[in-house]
Amino acid sequence: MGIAFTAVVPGPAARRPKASALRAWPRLQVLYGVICPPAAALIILAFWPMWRDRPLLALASVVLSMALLSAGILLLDEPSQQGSARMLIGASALLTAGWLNNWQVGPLPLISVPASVAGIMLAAWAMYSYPHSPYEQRAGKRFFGTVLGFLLAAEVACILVSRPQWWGFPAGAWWPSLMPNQGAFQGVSLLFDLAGVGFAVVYMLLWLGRWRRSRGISRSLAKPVATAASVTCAATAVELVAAALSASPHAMNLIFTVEAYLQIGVPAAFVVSVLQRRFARTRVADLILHLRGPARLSSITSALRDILEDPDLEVVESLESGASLESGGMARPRAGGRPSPGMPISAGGRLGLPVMATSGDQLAVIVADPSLSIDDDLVRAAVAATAFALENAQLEAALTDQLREVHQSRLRIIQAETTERRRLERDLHDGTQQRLVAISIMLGAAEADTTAEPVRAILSRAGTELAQVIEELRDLAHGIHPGVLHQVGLEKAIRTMAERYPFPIDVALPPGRFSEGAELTAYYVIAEAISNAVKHARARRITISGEASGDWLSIAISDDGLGGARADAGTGISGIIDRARAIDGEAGVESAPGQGTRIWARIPCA
Amino acid sequence: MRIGIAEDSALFRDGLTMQLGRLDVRVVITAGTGDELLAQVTRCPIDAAIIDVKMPPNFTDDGLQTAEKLAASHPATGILMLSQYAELSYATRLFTTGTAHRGYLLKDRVANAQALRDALQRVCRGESVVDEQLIGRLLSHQRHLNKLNDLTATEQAVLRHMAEGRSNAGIATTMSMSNKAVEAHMTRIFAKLEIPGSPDDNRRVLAVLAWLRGM
Repeated sequence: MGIAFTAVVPGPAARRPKASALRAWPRLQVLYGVICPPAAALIILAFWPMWRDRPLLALASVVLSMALLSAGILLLDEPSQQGSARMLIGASALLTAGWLNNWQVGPLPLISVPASVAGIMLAAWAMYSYPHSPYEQRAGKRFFGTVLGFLLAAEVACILVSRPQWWGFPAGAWWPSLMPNQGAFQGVSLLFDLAGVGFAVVYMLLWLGRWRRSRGISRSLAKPVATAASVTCAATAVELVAAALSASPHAMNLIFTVEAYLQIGVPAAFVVSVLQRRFARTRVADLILHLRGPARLSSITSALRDILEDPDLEVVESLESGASLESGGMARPRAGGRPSPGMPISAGGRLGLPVMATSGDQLAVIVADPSLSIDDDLVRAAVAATAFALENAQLEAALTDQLREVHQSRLRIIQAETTERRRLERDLHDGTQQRLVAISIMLGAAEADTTAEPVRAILSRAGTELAQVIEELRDLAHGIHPGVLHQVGLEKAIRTMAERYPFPIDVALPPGRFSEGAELTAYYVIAEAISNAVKHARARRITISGEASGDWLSIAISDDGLGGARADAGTGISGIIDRARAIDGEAGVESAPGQGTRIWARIPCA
Repeated sequence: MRIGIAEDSALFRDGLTMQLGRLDVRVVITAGTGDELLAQVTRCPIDAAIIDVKMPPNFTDDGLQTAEKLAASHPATGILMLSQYAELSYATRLFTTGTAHRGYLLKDRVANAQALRDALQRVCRGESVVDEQLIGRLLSHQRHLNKLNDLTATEQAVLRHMAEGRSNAGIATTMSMSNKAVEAHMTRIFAKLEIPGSPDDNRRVLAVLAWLRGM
């Protein structure tokens, strides 16, 4: 019996989560391929004599053994279920061995009697400890060990005080009958049956306790196995009572047959439960996918509550590493069966699951019902999904912050540039230019007043030059900043600008006024586009169109030039796009070679 | 001729006063703001006012507002707007409430004594004035090349004068032709260029400017 109990808790390393069903699939195939054919052969061999006498019972027993084996192999694929897997495979083997007495030769009955007892106990223990419960394990280990020991001892005693023929075995069967005694044999047999019924009752009570302790998803997941356990337990109790009352062989045969068919429900329940658990884990993994938009603590919480069927579940964000729950008095788990670090139980009896980032920082703590800890994989899936979602949210928030900062910085740069240009333009217009005009007047006065012809010629020349300088300065100042824009509005300012170019520029802009930023941006976009068309595209005609609808001003500048313009960094067009984006607008260029260029912008103008 | 000046730049004001002095024009009011000018005009009558477009307190179109108030209170007073910006829309705005006695010059035109005197005399007579440099630029624009080529040289000159805001009599004098001849030219120009309106309209300058600007 030692084999059964030492394998229950595999080490932490063995329990690393093992991929999806897809990756497990080839391994399962190999397991089934390697184990099943010889096992099936053995099982059919064990039941061979039974087919003739009791074909129904034989069929049920073969199916049961094979189903237990299959369920065991299925569980073998789950790292956290190695214990249950081995117990089921062991139960399959022991129950098969239990029917070896069908051969009714030599010492086979000696093997089969204890084997069937151990097989049933192993199956019961496998059911009870499934999927993985630290609380159930400790108490269970002691209880099942004691009962198994007692029952085996009773069996051995029975054997020692009886002959195989008393059990209905033929003369060929042999075992060491030390002191055959009918009375003692019947007494010990009765004791054995009563002990069996007692075990069945206690087993039912244990299940009742476990059922009451479980909540939420762990209860849902335990349901199939619990049902199978109750049914088989009741059937076993009936069998034992019937045996104790010395029912007729015919009646016993009927009971055995019905019981065997009912027992097939056990492996079936395991298969259903495995599928349920996989489905639950998948749902937890899907949690990430279902959290649309920025994952918030609240949305993660409600998703986890929903999936884990725990309405009181909370996800507490860690301000500092682990601080939020440790103040509540964390303790290591009582059961001591949790090898993985960080599965503390808080003082309130709640399970605290730390959610760690890949960097090792604690992101949050999931406070869940302790019954959740029965399913390790589910816990890990929930924690991983939460960590992923929270880390994503953190990254997203950081990225949003950075983007905002970049955006604001670009806006500041453009504002600073605009302010500087405006200042420069004002200095030129209001200062330099006016002084030059004043000087020009003085030159004119001097020219008029002088009688010296050479001086007059020089002054005249100086006056003409100065007039040109003033003209150029005015254009230069205007290029630096469109000083009239704010006063006359976009449409008039663009029209005036268009009049400066020697080729036709058609202007069809909405005449209304827009926000200062929108007008300035639109003006720069148009000025830059025109300058681009003149400088690079060798355009001969430019059309400027615009439309204001709602809060958006859409403008487009089309030319008949060379086309092939690109919005590469550092070009005028990339500057246009930057400028439009800086006030949350957008801009683009359509410029197939030979097809002219169309530069467009959408500018918020509310 | 008695002149009032509203101009916030002291240096420019001095230069302008000096230029006007040379033209034998008396500057009787020198104001730094439009309101100052309006306040003094009631006590000190003037024939014409020279007003900077951009002045305190807003430094936007304060001068235009002053001009509108002055035109309303003293319709016979000539108003000459000065602007640093080659911005024709100021002129068209100035003309929307009336074209008589109103003119628009670029600031640097002040250095040209002859142009300044001519402009002042015209606004005092009741004509309009539009900076000839701005008109020249508009007329030389390629947009108009084809249509303007349909006009004779005389018609082109008449068009230019109309755009500059001259009256029929003014054009007749300048071009040494009869009033009737000028009117005939104008009618032909309006027909050839398909300018909306008629040459008899007293807001003719606005129609011509609008046509030239392609609006």
